[in-house]
Amino acid sequence: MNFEKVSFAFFVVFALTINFGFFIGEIDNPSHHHVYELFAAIVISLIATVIKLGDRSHIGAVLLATSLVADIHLFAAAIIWGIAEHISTTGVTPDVMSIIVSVSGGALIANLTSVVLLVIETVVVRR
Amino acid sequence: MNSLIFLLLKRIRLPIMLLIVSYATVILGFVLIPGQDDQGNVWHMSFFHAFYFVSFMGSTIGFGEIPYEFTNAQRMWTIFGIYASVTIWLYSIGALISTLQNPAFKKILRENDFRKKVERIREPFYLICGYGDTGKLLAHELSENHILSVVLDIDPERIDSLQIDEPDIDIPALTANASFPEVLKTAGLTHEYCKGVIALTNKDDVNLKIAITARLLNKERILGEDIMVICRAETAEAESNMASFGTTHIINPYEIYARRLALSVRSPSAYLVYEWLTNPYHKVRSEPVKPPWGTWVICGYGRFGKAVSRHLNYIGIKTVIVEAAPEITLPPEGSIVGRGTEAVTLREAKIMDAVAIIAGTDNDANNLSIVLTAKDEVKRHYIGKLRDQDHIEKYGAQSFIERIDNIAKTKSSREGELFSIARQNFSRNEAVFEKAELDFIMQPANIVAGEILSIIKTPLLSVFLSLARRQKDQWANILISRISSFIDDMAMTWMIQISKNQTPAIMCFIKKEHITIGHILRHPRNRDKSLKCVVLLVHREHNEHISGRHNICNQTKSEKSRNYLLPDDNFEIQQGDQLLFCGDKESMQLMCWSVSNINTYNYLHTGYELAGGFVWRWIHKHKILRQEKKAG
Repeated sequence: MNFEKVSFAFFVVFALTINFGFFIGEIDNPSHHHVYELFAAIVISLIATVIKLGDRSHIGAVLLATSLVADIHLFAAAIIWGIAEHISTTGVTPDVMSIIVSVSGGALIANLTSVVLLVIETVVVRR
Repeated sequence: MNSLIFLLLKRIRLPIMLLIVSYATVILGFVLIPGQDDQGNVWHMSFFHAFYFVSFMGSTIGFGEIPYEFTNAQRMWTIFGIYASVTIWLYSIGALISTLQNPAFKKILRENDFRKKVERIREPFYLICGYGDTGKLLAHELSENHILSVVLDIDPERIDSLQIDEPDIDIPALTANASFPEVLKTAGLTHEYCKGVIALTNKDDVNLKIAITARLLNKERILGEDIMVICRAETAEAESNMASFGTTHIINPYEIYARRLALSVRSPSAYLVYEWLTNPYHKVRSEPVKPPWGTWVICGYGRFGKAVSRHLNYIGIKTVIVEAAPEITLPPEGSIVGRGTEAVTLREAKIMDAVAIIAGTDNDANNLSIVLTAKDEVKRHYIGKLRDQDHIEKYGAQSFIERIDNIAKTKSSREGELFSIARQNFSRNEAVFEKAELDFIMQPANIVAGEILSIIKTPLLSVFLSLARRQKDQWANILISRISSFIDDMAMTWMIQISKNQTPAIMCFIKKEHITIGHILRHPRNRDKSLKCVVLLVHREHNEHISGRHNICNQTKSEKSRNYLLPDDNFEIQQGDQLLFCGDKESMQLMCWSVSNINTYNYLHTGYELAGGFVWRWIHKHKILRQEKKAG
């Protein structure tokens, strides 16, 4: 067991779980999806991305790619939220909320892929 | 490229992580800490505002407290945020810069740059391994002749000096060990435009390894035609080893020089021809140097001394060897042990009876010292001889000294003068060697570079020279008088192949008409005059048809090809012939013009200016037809 592996797996899994936490709930109900959770999801996802940098193996490259996909989704969600709340006059309506949540759903899939790859790699290495 | 970005990112992973964490913490803090709006109500900053504020706070821009004035709690958090984020920013930027300046990182940068440059090459180039004296000369000469080269050397200082030596053109260069196949591959060994590999490192085994690598990595290409492998070899073992697996050209500077020296003794005129044609800086000079026959003293029995004494003995010159370490070099019986820099050793070698001295050790200072000591010794001996003849009593002391000086000045009287040759190992010592009044200076770097250059530029030249070496002195004299009649500056040698690419104008005529060398040698501005050049050699591949008219030409028979030495003006040329010319620079340019421009060539051939366009050509044709009808 080494600390690098622990932190690596920790952030990859954490990114998925926190993303899931934001995603779960009725899709158009703003009270089911808190902004703090989205913020945390973005931060954790960014950290996970940075941790994955620099791995030259093939699986490392795929892991990094999934992370980047998740980042893009979450950023999109955050930008939509920001525009709805501060720029457009409507505020966060159920319609907007459903868009945000569905976009974060994409990030969820990417994070899921990431975790699956992590599990596969762990199984293959068997050490 | 790829690995470069990843390496950079890996190095600055921690700073990025710290930045993310600090931003996240500070933003979260601003969102959580309650503030007040302008009405005094409790107001929570949104993530949008918090991110905006932290963005300009972290980068120390500071637009002020927005959108409402902060409470004290918020201000306290701001203080924390400023110190945290600014510190982390500074650290991150520092880490980034130190990564960029890391020697290992810089090396990868240079390698990447080099690889990209080589990959992008879209013209024939030569790969030079080893940028020492020889490599430097060669790269310079190649770039003068508009031939691209790629340079490898293990010493970073030499590679740095390349940029200073050749500021005008961008020669891709890399500091790397050329004996690694991977390095050679990066440098374009398997590149489709790589015309040849030139191994010039000062270690024979490295050159050998380069030759093997070049051979094995280019299996599908024909060695000698698609890719040339040229190696410098200093020992006979390495030479034969390289030859065993098909190295195209093996260049041993000592062997070459010894052969030339023997030639200059045997036939000074032939040697002069040799010098003219191979040395690009050699001015045409009418007086050949004549090394004397007699006993020669050779100091240093290393690779150079061995080669020289073998060649001199072969043509019947007696040599006396002076060697400092006879147990290593094993000189022949009767050799004198010593360095040769002391008068005693030289006297022991009977320098007074010798006609020439060769200083051939691997130490430049010693070589100079040997030559100077020997010259002094001989001069003193000569003065002594004169004194014996009681010259002082006859003419008085003053006139005696003048007389000695006069004798020393006039080269015609060689008595009391020693013919001197010194080996100059490093080009940086050139100034001293020039001042030493030597008859010949042996510069290995120049010899190798000149030889390789002639192989690359004019492959026929080496064929010509090997044929010329077998001719008599008389023959060389005639050639010299012929060349020196019209060249007074530098002699250039160039090659033309009768082909669609090189001589499109001639190709239009060659099917119908007989084209002779006389046609090509005419001046394109006035066909009654001829260009200032001669055809040295015509090389013909795979040709069964031999016209009987050329019995004056010296022919060497071989199965594949046929060479005609110094053909006369009536010699008829055929498609595919390769012609070697020697002449001045202007003639070379004029010839390139006349053989490639059909109108110019037509003028040379027929004496008429050819009409250019369709209409004019049609009229011209009809005019000729009408004339023919009239004639019957």
